Amino acid sequence: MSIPTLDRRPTHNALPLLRSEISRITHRRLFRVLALILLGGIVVVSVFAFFMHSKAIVEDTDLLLKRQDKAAQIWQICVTQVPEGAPENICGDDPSEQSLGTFARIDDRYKAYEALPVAVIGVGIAAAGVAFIMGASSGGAEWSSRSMTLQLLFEPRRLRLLVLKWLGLVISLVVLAAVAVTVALGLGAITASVRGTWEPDFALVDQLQDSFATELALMGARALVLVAIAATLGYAIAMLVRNTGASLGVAFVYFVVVENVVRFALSRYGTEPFMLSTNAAAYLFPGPIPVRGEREAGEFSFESEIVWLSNLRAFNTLLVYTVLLAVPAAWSFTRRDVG
Amino acid sequence: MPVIEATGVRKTYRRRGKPPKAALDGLDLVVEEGGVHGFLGPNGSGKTTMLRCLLGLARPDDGFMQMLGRPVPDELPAVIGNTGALLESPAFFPPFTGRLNLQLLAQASEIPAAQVEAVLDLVQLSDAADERVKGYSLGMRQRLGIAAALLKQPSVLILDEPSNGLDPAGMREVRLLLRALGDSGVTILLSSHLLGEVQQICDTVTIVNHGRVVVAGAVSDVLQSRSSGAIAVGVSDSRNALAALTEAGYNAQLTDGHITVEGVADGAVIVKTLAAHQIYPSWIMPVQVDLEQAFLELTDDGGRPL
Repeated sequence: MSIPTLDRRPTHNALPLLRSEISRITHRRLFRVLALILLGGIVVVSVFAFFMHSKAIVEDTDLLLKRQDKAAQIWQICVTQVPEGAPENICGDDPSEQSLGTFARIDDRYKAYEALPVAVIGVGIAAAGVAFIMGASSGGAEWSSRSMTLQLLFEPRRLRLLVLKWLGLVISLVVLAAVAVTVALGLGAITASVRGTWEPDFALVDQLQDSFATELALMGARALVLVAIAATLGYAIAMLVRNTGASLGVAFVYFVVVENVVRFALSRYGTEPFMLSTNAAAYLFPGPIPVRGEREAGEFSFESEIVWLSNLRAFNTLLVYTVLLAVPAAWSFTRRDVG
Repeated sequence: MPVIEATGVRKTYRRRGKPPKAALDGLDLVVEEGGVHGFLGPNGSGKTTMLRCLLGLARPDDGFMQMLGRPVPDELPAVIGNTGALLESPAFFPPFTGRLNLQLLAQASEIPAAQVEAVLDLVQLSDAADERVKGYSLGMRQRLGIAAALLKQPSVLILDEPSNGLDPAGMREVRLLLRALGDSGVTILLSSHLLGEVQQICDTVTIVNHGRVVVAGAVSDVLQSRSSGAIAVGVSDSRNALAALTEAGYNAQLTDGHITVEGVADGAVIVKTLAAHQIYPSWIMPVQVDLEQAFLELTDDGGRPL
């Protein structure tokens, strides 16, 4: 019995380790399940949107007559049930005497300038949620299984290992998010072309009218940055508490308890512009969003006012929170004993 | 030059609500190149802490350590490629298969995929390599841990209880493998509580207790140093033989059908004394101390589990 001979000594290059970390993340069942849910959800919502919308604004006469007949039947039932007095007070006017235009529905078209930005925001937030869960799970699972210890026996430079593991996580999730955004936009574009309109008049905000493609691309890019931030936050918390459940618990307490308490009980103190979820939404939205803040009204007195959160301000706030968690997490990993 | 050398290593664990515990209290360790070096001590004596310090997993408070001529942990990256290790229970990602766990480690260090298959074959885990690790028995995990330690074809192997969880046949295979590796020039530092195993395969040994070295050296020297100098004598007429030896001034006792004479360096004087009384021994031999006896005496923790 003898140990096999290696042709060359093991190396400590960054790229193979990074590739290995990406493989580690993408081989995880949780990653695959969450990716399936995210992409599957996008497809389901897109298909639903496709069939909910209609290309035609002006509907044909047969359809309008059918709607009129149905409304008349309901009106008749209503009238027979009204005991006395003027039935129109309760049941309204007789539909058969109304013009056909009354039964035309509002514009059912899928409006690309409105729906596609909303799709990017929705997918960005969902992907950020997936990224946070994966970040927390990746960090926590490695501590609970002690596979981190084993890896340190192959790469003892802790900061380097940590950075490459974080990078592998972020790359995997950003690629997933990019695929998700692309799928959502692609399916949305198909729906807009087949059952909708590309008219700029329906833009979600005015600035989309002039440079729709650029703004949409920027929104997509911001969605990917938000995913990276969410993954980093999840991973950093997991590295600090060394447990997946505790990391997710911290997130639950923050988003469900702390933010709501602060939002409803303390918003008069101008706390809203500092909430993580508010800044995440403000960062994705095309253009500034109004939130309740405060301003100095006199010496030692403040009064609430509307604060406009721009993408840049939201990004800076998110970055501060990320650094505040990531730096202690990295410091702790490089200093603490590993069991 | 020693492959592993540690001098005055100290490590104290702070414990919430309890006084600090010194896991290592100025521990010295020298492991020469090649062969198998046993590292023994009772539970809590500091063995695993010392190994973790050597491998950069725990930070010592004081002391100097080096491996392959490089100070560790500062220059551990320079020697880790030549060092394989298995610490306590192997730590693999349970939802992954055994093969995938090793493949990821190999990929990170650019070790050829064929090496993964070779070490899996070596520890006889090829057939179960595509099963998830969470379904492995303790023995299978231990084999996988040994495979991971061998993946780098190391010149230094640090093993903490490698036989833990293995069946007798598996333990024998590991013993043969380690002995073969030691003979081929690999330096093995073996922490084990199986004293018979250590005595069988180790060339040298360090016994520690309470974070300090109690004794270190060649296994034979350690056993010799613990020898009481007693001689056992087999005779048919044990009663007259005992009377003759006592009359001659020897400290002799009748034990289990033979006579034990304490404090005698040369057995020939015993034979001569008995022959003078027309008593001729059927056999005579020095009383041997085994490693277990030596360990229990040296650590003074006979009642504690190893």
